[in-house]
Amino acid sequence: MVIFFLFSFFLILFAMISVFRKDTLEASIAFLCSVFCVSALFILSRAEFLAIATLISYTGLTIIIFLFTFLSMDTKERSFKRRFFPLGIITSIVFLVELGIIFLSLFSSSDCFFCNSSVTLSSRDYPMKTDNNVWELSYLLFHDLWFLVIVSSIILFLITLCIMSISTIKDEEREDK
Amino acid sequence: MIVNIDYYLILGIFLFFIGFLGISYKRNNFIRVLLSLQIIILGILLCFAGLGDFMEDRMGEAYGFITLLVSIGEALLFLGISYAYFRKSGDIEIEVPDKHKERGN
Repeated sequence: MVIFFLFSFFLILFAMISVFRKDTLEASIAFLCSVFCVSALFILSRAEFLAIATLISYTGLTIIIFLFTFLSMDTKERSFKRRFFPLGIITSIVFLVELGIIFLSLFSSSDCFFCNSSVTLSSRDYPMKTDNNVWELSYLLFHDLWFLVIVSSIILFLITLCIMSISTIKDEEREDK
Repeated sequence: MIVNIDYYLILGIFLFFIGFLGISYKRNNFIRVLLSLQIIILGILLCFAGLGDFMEDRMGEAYGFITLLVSIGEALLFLGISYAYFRKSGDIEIEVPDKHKERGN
């Protein structure tokens, strides 16, 4: 309960920063922090798959927003942002150390997931009733809700085509001029 | 169920309200509007996850995943439009036309 309120507080704080902050770069970083808090709340509500999917997809989206905003800035503003470089280096080192600890603990434990060759997909019966919900959710998504998944994938595909065609049309117009 | 469903719904509605406020109040920048839209969608996803946990069914999570897919597509489309706008005008600031100036008053 305490963890829920802690993450809720930070979520609201970062959401307000990302909406009302004037600097777009800081707003996008605050948005990434709010996504992290939402993922933690998803894990609390036993939706691990959704948490991981949200974190991965929104991290990619935020990086694109960050790059786009950075490239649209003036040179003076870019050099002003270099003051965040030491903070970025420290954060990267902390994340790398955490990643190393996780990998070391995975490979050193007796029930190592990557080393256990007896676990094969074909030997499992569907739907799996395990502690994590990924197998159960995959069965639901690709068996019961397969139509919605395909429709959403087609929407994503069409959107990608639209974006590519917009860029191509603009390039052709520029070349014609 | 560790946390009561009411808290999830209240938090989701609060996020929705923050995002809505951002769209209606601070709509002078493409990226800011996009971030406000994503905050709204995060609130909706939170409601889905809380309801799925409350009903002890994976359906809420599954619908949340599909909503996530569509929202990512929408965000990409928004970024594509803002990129086209940036190439045209050289800025990502939205110019809201003044109605009084258009009418000539």
